[in-house]
Amino acid sequence: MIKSRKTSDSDASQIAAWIAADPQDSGATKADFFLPSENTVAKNFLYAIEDEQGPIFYVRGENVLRLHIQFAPNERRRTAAAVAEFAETMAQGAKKLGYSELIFESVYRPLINFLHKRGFRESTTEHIMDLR
Amino acid sequence: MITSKRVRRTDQEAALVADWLAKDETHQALGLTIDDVFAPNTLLDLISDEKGPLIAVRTHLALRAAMQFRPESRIRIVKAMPDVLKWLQQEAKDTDCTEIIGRPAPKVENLLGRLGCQSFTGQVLGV
Repeated sequence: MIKSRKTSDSDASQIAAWIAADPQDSGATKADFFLPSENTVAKNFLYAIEDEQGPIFYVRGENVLRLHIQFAPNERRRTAAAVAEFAETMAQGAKKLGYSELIFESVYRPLINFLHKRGFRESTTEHIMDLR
Repeated sequence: MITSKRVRRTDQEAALVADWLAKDETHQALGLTIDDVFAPNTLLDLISDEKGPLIAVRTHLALRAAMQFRPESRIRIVKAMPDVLKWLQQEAKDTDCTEIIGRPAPKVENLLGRLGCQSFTGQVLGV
C-alpha cells in the first residue's frame, strides 16, 4: 500500500542525499527540483511517495503540450513559412498557459531539422503511457 | 501572416483534414485515423496563410513525470511501481492529461516497459 503527500522543505536533505547516491544523476538535478518554491508554476505537482517503511520516491509532475501535425499535401514552401511562424506563436501561447514544454514525435527528417533550427531538440529516451 | 481556427468534427474543415490524412503515406502507415484526430481531450486547430489552410495541429495535455528513487531499494521500488503508476494515471486523468511522459533512468526502462510504457524519440522545445 503506497501513500502520497506533498513535499516540503523538510524533505530537502533526504532528496539531496538520494540524488548524491544516484549513479545515473550527472549532478544536474538539485533537491529544489522536487520542492515547492515561489517559482513553481501552479500546474506542477510535487509529491513524496511512501510505502510501509517510509519514503521511496519523490515525484515532480508538470503539464506539457503534445503536438501532432498534419500537413496539406504538395505545399512545401508555404508550409515551411507557416511552420516557422506557428512554432513561435505556439511556444509563446503554451508558456502563457503555464506549460513547460512542447513535444512532438516525427520520423520526417526535413521537419525535424527545420524545427531544430528553431530551438527544438531531440530527446531519445522518452517513455510514454497512453491513458485512453 | 498565419491565422488559426479551432475545428470540431462536425465542421466542414474536418473533411479537408481527413483528405490530407488519407493522402499522407507516413501517417497511413502509422495507422492514424480521423478518430485519432478528434479523440477526447484533443483540440484541433487549422493553420492557414493568405492562400488557405496548410497545417492541422492536434494538441493534448501530457503529464511529464520526473522521479527520484530511494537508493539501494530495488525490491521496494519494483513492488511499489505498479501502484505508483496507477496513482499517477489517476492524477493525470484528473487534470485532463491523456498521456504520461518521462525520461526514466536505464535501470527502470525494462520495468516501465512491462507496465505498459512505450519508448519514443521526442522533439522537445522548453518554453
